[in-house]
Amino acid sequence: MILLLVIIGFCVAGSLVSSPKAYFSSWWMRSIAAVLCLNLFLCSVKRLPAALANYRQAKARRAGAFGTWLCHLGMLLVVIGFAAGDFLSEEYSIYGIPGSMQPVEQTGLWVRIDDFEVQMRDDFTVEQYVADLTVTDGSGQEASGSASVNHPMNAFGYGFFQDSTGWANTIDIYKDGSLQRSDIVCVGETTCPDDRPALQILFNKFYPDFAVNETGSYYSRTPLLNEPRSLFTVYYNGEIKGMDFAAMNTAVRINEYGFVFRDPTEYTLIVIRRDPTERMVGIAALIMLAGIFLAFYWRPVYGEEGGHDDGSIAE
Amino acid sequence: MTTDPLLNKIESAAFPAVLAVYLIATAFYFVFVAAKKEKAGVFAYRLMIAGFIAHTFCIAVRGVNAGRLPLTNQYEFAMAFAWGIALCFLIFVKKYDFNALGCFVAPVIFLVIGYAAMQSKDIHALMPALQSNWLAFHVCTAIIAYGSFGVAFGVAMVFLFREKLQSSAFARMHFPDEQMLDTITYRAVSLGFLFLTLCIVTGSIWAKRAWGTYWNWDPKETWSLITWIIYAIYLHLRLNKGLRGRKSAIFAALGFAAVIFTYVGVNTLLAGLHSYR
Repeated sequence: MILLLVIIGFCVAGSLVSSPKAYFSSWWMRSIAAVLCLNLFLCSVKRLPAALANYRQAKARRAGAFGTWLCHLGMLLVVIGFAAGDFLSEEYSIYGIPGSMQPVEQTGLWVRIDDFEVQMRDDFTVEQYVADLTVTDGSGQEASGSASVNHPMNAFGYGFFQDSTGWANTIDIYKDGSLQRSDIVCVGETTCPDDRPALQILFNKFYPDFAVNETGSYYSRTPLLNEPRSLFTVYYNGEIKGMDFAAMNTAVRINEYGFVFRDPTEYTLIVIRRDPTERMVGIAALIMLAGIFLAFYWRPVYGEEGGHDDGSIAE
Repeated sequence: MTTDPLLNKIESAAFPAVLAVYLIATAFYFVFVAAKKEKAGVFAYRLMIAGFIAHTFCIAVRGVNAGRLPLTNQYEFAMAFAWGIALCFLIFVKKYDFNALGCFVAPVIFLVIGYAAMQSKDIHALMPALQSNWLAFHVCTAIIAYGSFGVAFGVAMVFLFREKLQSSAFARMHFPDEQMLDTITYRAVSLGFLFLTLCIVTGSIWAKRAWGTYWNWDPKETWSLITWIIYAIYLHLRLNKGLRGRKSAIFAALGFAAVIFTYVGVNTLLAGLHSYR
């Protein structure tokens, strides 16, 4: 009981921290989970003989005798499965525009984004994000499908989840009028001339339908590409040299350099996950639910000698 | 999102009516218990039934207008939460012939609908993450769980209140004895606990489909777990340590405080995946 109260205390604190995942993966939370597992294990061992005795004594609804025991067992397996998942699960992410192909870290998989569509309603609210993907493994086997929110694609034991989206532009960098570099840059990323890495161009924000309101604030009227503008900042040796909007296909000049924003496209971020303990946790949760149901709603019917009206089990 | 102006008007008219009926029922329950007026109790119960019918109608109109289950924002869930408490209340009153319970449950229903009144009633199209059949299972189980815990809270308050009226003939006639009150609280908590567990499990399945992980330590998830543990302690103490009486009632009331914080506090004070305004 003290342990459960301690867990409540830690959970309350965990709900207030800025990065709860790190908090709940800390060594002290793992230690508490280990103590909880030990406690649940001992409880399960201790309860089993009593559950068996109740099972033998019961005249009807005998399975109910295992209710609380199953509940404890299910909870034990959920905690073990969740803790194991913390160590065994894998998570990667890739992002890119349609046509791009990315490796998925050490998995040996490659993901090609065949297409990406943001399906909108008439009022410009998003109906669905759909990414068509082709996944290739090390042996050259291919799997194609689409990933949308609530409908992940599954291939090679991994789940591919449509996570988020944003805008990308192609930025062409010229030096003395000749093309030096062409980069696809997402909002928040930087690019620079090949021979002058100290000159950084940060792509701050994208307005697909640029407008200015009465108070002078910038906004996008619609998410459609009617009047696209890109907000950028130029840094030299880490110092801000300027910030401005660029229209598409219009050159911006800085000394001998020029750069052009073009081809605005929405990129997609795909999260790739695998958790081998998921099935175990699912089964454990079902065991726990079955245990709760049996404990409260399938109470054993005993003979004249016993049975507890409130559902408690003879120890 | 385009909605039917007629249905908007019907809902706008029905909502204050529901609020008013529950408020009047609350007032009559107070008259029933404080002034010991039998007729006030009967009238209050009839008002609760009328309120529940109007409430159901109000939710149904919104569902038809939105073209989906109206369970996806603070207003809609507050309405459904109050509906769940009202449903559980009517079932428990019928089962245990315990109308005085309304004295403590009707104000909770009124307050939850009052909270709904402070929320935006605009109907929005669903964002992609909310377009899942698991959402319906998840929220429906939450409604029954929260409704049962609301009733357990009401019975627990009756238990604590009854101690002050022990010798009164009115109390003997309208309040079950302490043992029965204790059993009703236990039954309501065990029903709520089963559905809260189902709610957490269905929510985890939905989270797995939408975000790829079944548990994200989102504040709402964490507080649901806290609420679950509080009620698990209550049931554990009751089944194994013989927790009964006043302590049991205080525990049930504390559990409901956690439910309210999980619902209102987390949504307003702590941002997370569940912050659908």
